[in-house]
Amino acid sequence: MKRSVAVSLVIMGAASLAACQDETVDSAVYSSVDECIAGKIYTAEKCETDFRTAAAMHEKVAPAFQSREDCEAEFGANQCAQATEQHASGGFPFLPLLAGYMIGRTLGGPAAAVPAQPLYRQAGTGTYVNAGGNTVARSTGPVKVSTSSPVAKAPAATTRTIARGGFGSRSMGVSA
Amino acid sequence: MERIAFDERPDWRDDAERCGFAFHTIDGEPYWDETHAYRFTLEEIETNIEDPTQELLSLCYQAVDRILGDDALMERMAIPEEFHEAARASWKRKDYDLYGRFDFAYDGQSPAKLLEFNADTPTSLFESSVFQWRWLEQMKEEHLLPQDADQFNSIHEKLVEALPVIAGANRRMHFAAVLESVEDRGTIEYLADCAVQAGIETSLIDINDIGVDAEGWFTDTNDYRIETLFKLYPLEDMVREEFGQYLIRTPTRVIEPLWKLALSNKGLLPVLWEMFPGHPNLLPAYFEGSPAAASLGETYVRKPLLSREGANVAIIDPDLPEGRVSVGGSYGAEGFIRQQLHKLPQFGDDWAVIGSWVIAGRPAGIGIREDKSPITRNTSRFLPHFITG
Repeated sequence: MKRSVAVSLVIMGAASLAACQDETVDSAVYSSVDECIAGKIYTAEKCETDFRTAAAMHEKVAPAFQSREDCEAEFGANQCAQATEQHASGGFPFLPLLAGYMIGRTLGGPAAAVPAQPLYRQAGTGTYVNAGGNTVARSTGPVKVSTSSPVAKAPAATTRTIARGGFGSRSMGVSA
Repeated sequence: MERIAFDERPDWRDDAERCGFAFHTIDGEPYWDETHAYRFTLEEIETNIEDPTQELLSLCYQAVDRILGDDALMERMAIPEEFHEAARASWKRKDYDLYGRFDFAYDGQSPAKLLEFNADTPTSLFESSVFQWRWLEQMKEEHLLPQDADQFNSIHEKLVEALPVIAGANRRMHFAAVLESVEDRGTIEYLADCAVQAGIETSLIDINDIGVDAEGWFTDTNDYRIETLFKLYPLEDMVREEFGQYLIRTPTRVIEPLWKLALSNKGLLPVLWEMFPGHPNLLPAYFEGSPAAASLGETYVRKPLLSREGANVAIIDPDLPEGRVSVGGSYGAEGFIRQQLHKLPQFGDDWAVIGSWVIAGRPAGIGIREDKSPITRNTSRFLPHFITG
């Protein structure tokens, strides 16, 4: 056969909008590898691998603050430190301490996957949030993650844009 | 190969709207046209279109080696000097590319002839990949075509396969275009749809809204770094714009990559002819002003090195009423090539060109456009095809 077996659309057009592809994936939040292992849901190897993944991302993507005070206002006293390696936003800002991590799941293919990632704990509420500031859980343990929620994606690095609008001056498009 | 008249499906416009195919009619004129369809035999498709497509692609890769290894040739092709080394480096790194479309003159009798290679920003992708596929399926359902009718069109499958490789481990892509252009927007919406199906997180961004940070990453309107950028916007324009300088060292992966500057240029055609003279799928072509160009005589096609949608292309032929047929436009400042005139086949009053798609280095299918003029322009119509026998 010389043609595609199936041709589907998931975001284009009204039909696909109605049939929004949202699924929930079983994940979990732990404050440490020991807690993960003690939870007996995931193997020790999985607990360790995902922790390493999250820890490796931490200094690059953690919420960044110009001052220790700004950071502590959100994450609590003695819960912040200056970055020791260059942050994705450039420079060495103050970051909240790594307070836990989310377990990554890839069961059921890419459409039903969530990434392992570092988590931070807000002062006062104790809520676990990811690097983008999105709430993941109120406490540790198993959690259901919607694949359409912002915590279902590995945290992207924000940065400071120094200039904008430098493309687009010569052409009105390629089909014009 | 033949053109056959069909009745239109009564509800195809509704179906087009449901699919988000917003440009099926442009300025009140039909763009999608199913009043006819083209029939091919499997032999015609495989031997005369698919094989030459793969073959021409490999010749093009050899031409990239030749072009990027020769600064004088790059200058002749109007590739700005500051991008020579960067384009070479991009080719050496084997930077990923996504797609391209060869335009062929093919009449079912003589070998398909390469008219040009749209290696950077080809459109007519959605209609080739999705809407002609739906046409075939529905025509078979209604028993208006035999149940074993096929189509040379695995574009969708190949896109869904190729995009995750390009997006890499972070599975995030930004798709940029001039969003005011309905057709351009539709094309990147479709590519983004394929990416989502492949598990990639996607964002659309207007090409004018792209920013840059201190380390040379391109950024989106939320100040996120763009890790992988698909841009439906001419590379040759980008390198000449204010942010062009950042393309040289940016950590952002840009699709199509800089080495495509060597292919997305009509100067490719004389280079191919010089390297592979007499190849059955190539037409004689020369840079304008080179002594050999005189061998074409008084009849030839004149094409700007850089242009889109037939703009500034002219057929020069003393037998024509005014000695020429031409399409207006604002291209041509960078120079021209001349190519032997090889007329498109005519079906009724229409001239048909075959667009043969390449996705991630593999032939993937065809789309046919017809025009009332012998030069295919942005007023052309898209017609479906099928394979029987």
